[in-house]
Amino acid sequence: MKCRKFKYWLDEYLDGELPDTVERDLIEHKNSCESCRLVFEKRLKLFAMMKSAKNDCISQDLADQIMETITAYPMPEKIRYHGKAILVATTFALAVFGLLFFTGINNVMNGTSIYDSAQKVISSVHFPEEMNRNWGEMQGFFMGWISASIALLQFVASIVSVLILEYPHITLMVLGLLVMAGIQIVSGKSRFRKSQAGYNSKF
Amino acid sequence: MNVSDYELIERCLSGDKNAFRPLVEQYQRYVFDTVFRMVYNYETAKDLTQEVFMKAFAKLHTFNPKYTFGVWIHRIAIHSAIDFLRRRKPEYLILDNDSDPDALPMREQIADTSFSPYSKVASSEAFKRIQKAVYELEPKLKAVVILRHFREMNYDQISDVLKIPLGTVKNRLFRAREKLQEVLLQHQPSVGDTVS
Ligand SMILES: [Zn+2]
Repeated sequence: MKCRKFKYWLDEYLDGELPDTVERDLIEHKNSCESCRLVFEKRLKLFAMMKSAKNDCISQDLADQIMETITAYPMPEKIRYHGKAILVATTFALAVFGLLFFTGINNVMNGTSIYDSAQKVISSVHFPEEMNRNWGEMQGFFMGWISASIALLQFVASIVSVLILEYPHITLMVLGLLVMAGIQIVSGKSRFRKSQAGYNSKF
Repeated sequence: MNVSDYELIERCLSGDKNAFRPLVEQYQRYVFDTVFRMVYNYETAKDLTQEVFMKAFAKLHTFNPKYTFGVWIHRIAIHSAIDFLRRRKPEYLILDNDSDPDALPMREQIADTSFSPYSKVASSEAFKRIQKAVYELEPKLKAVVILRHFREMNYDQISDVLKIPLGTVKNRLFRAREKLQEVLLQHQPSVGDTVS
């Protein structure tokens, strides 16, 4: 071991982060090289000083004070804990989109143009004419919006299917990236349980 | 068996504010000690500790269980302290510690603690000298020294707290220690040498 390397490894040794094999070399070098032995002793002294200054300097318990402010504070959000719901919703949305996607492809295959789909979206929306509508009108109103949403999804799906037919590589790449991003988000939420078992250190 | 920090966080997030208390009780002295050593002012450290736990509570839903709560709260603590040091007024700078009344509670406490083999007076002086040397390091070097020597975190934990690579942790520790050695061991005889 060279002297320069010794200096480099010394801190890791004193921090207890050095592999055993390197440790042996380090001790060997320390015993055979006078200048490195001095470097070692000086560093050891510094470590001892730091240890002597380690005592916690708190003289007052702040827990009550902290809890007082926290009690007055609104509850934190629970976003992280909705992982399961997000998973279910995503699956459902993907299923719906997939279904509509294939009807979209079907439309394109059957020669229905995107403009026809767009027409369908517009025609299925009908706005109520007056504020005092009866129940039937209300039903028609909501059904109109629902069918408009479905038609809109179909419209988007037809665009995507046209894109796939025209530019298959780029579109599939983009869709793949979107799916991967989705998986990343969902799997990120489920790490919580796994890491509980490994907890034992003070920090 | 103790309830784990993760369970407590989960209970907090499902609406039980009191589940936060054990977390506060367990970590507040470490957080206080860390920020105190960063800013070296008793009142500021008290305010910052309060602020750190407030931030932690408000951001609890962003807690990443990849880390422990101890690591996570120290990340907030170091950030808050560095942030404070950056935006503090110039007159805050403590040039002469003996005239700083805010540091008193600690000194009193230190005087009550006996550090073998130093005498009580010597230990208080020695402690102040070390504390000052640490305080005068630049913030990012100070942070690694505090986390390593006073919080006794390992390299992995320090790298998690500061979000820096392992190599940077080692490098900063080395640079910080070279500086500390220069201040504490080069110019004056070491404390250990003056007491037999
Ligand atoms: Zn050597």
